[in-house]
Amino acid sequence: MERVINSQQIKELFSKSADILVRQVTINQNNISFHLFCVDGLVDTDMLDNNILKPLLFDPYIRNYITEAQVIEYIKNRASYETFTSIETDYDKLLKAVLSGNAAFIFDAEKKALVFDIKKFDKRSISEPNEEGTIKGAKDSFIEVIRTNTALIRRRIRTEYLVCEQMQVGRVSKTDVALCYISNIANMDTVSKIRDIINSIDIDNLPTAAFMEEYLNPNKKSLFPQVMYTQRPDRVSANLSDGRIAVIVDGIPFVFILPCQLVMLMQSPEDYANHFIVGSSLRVLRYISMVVTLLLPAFYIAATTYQNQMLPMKLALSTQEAKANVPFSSATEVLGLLLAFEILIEAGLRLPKAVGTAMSILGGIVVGQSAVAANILSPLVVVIVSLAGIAGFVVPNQDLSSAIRVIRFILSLLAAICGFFGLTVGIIILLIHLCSLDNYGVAYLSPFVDIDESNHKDTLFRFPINYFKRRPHNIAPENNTKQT
Amino acid sequence: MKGFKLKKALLLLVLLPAFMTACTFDMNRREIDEIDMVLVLGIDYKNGQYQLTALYSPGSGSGSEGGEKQDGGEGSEELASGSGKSAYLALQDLKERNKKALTLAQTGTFLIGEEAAKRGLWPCIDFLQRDETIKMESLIFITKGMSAEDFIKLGQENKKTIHEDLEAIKQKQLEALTRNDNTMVNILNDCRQSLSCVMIPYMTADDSGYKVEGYAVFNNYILRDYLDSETSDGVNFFRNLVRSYDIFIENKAGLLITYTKTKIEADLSEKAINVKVKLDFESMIKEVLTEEDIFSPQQLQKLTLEQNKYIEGILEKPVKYLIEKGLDILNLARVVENQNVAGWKDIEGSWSELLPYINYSYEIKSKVSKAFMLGVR
Repeated sequence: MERVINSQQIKELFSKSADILVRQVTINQNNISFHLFCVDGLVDTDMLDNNILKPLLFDPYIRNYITEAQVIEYIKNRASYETFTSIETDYDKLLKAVLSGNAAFIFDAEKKALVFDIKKFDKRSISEPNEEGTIKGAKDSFIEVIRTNTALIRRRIRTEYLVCEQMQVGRVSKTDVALCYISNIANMDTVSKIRDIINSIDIDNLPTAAFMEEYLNPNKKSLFPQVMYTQRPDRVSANLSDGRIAVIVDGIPFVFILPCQLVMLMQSPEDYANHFIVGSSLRVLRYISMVVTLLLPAFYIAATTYQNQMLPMKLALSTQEAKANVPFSSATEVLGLLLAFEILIEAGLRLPKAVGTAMSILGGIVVGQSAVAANILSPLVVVIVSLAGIAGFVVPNQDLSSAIRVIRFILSLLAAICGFFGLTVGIIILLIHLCSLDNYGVAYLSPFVDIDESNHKDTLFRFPINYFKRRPHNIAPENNTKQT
Repeated sequence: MKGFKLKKALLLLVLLPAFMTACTFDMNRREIDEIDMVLVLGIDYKNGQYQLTALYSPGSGSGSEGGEKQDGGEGSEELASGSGKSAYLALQDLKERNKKALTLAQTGTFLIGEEAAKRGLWPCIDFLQRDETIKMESLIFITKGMSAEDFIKLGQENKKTIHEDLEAIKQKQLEALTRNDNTMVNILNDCRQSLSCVMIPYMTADDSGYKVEGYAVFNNYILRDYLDSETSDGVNFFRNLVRSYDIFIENKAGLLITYTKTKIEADLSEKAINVKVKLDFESMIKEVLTEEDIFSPQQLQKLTLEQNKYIEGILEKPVKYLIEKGLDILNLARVVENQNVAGWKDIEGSWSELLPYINYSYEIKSKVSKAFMLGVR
């Protein structure tokens, strides 16, 4: 089949699709006609009727043009009230444009089409971010429409250097993907690396965010999240102005940010909305919580099974007393309860909100209390696992929180096998792994591992804003002056 | 290449658990409720054998064969004993007699009986310093005039929760002193300086309870003497250990020292050793025993001089003891060595002969501050 622009061919192609409209329209007495080609439901019909078709049909001058070429030129430059009009000669590009929501006039003789960007489809309105809410911060969040999302970013960054490269991914879905960066700040090598990755994706469909995230992930085997996602346009704009790169995927209400470091995943927009001492305290609390959630169950197993000298005498005695009639080993208790905790979380996600609350009460309080009363669990284990579980929710990034939950199991297992020795080996392996991670040329533990002290001002502690003089040099190597 | 990586990963997966499992053979894997934790360990020498008396908290209702149960306070405490030709063998015997495994990991206090102390410190503590589970901050006491076993049993007869009472003594010590110098680690450290005496607090027991009275003096690791209370206080001043101390000036005032700082300067000149003791302290008037206005500047000045004299008297007591007995209870050997590294080598050999001839001088500065008063006297 010849791949030239032809209405008959398109009609045949979409003969079984009820939502595809291919209709002939005659516009002057010289019998010049074209075929309107669009997808019902994706185009703004008011715009099509009032701004494009109506002016054409009532245009007194169009009868003067006797060839299709003349008519095309006239419509494009004078007759249409639509701003975004272009001429398409490529068959595939025409299909792509129309299936994305544009309307086209097909001129068979010229084998050309006039494309009008009049997309309009039902979309969710911009609402408050449900995962990253702040009290003093902006209240808007990304939605599923790529153009709205790019607009939200451009509203905050008005520099001419903000680039939004648009690409399409997916043989079948043809999902729009935008690569955003500030060209005079971002590292262009990183930009081209990410662009190459997106261009090399050869998949039929990108149904969820995880697909794109996995393609962009430079260390796929690592449990730790390598791509940061956010719902907040202000967060994206802050990262763009730091020299990072944003990837926006149509249909996903998140934006991916790269390169990603561990420190970013521990930050919250609320840190900057509060006084710097309050912000720093909250951050320290988060890091402490991360250590607690990661190590507390393993520490308990190691201390109660191997090295009880690590416990103060009174705690050792009360632990001994609490565990006196429990038939299971500490390791079985902790690992079992951790597993039960994960089951509760997973079940809570699947259930409707009202049932979920009832189940949390039933699972957490009733079953937990009964298990303690029946001497199946020691009360201290319930406290330890609950504390570890709650501390895990303090970590702001859900992906990081999930990774920590898995590692918590592994460390607990190592502690069960050989106590603090196993736990220490586990921590060393974990640290080696974290130190070895490289995220698009930037160490994953950066700026903790950076020699440059100026990078440390927004890590464990959040310094006052006037201290942030420079952008991280490994992310924005050329232009790293942030403020003077 | 991929196959090679997979093989390496598989090998690691097999080796790591194997390695760790192998490690567990020597990891003392034992659940906390399956062990009896010794809280107080008494070390005695009786009938030509070392005897260990362990006061422990039973894991979960277990006990030793013939173990005596003590029912005092919140938790129950049991007593078990073992004997052997050495303290270590006695410990092994003790462990064998007990139904459950015994651990010294939570032992907070080691009591050394007088007889065992007279036979030597090392045989009593050597096995302890080689046990990796021992807490280095656990305290060592000498039981004056009785065996450690009797000391513990006396507590049991008087319905005391012994380990809690000993814990209370530890806290009381910390109210008067800046740190507990009788921890395992400090005693072992003191033992390294063979020219000075090792000083370990001794305890006495009566029906009313336990009391730390002063220091037991060990020379060449053997118990030689007990210092009285005031001489021991003087030692504490020399060691810069005093946090608070009561001063009583007859018919005038009772004062409480709230801050002290002692600095000892040792100077070597042609084999004459001069030791200068610089003591700064602050005190607070706690009790007025006279009708005079002792808060006037002149009276306060007078009071300051009087309290200086009082403390000088306390400082002179251990010095007098040192001169009389020729025992370096003030750890001066280490001070002289540290401050005169070159000259020390010449006098090291004759240190014990030189010790009684050391010249002492005192520079005492103090300040009296007013205590809070309701009303005016």
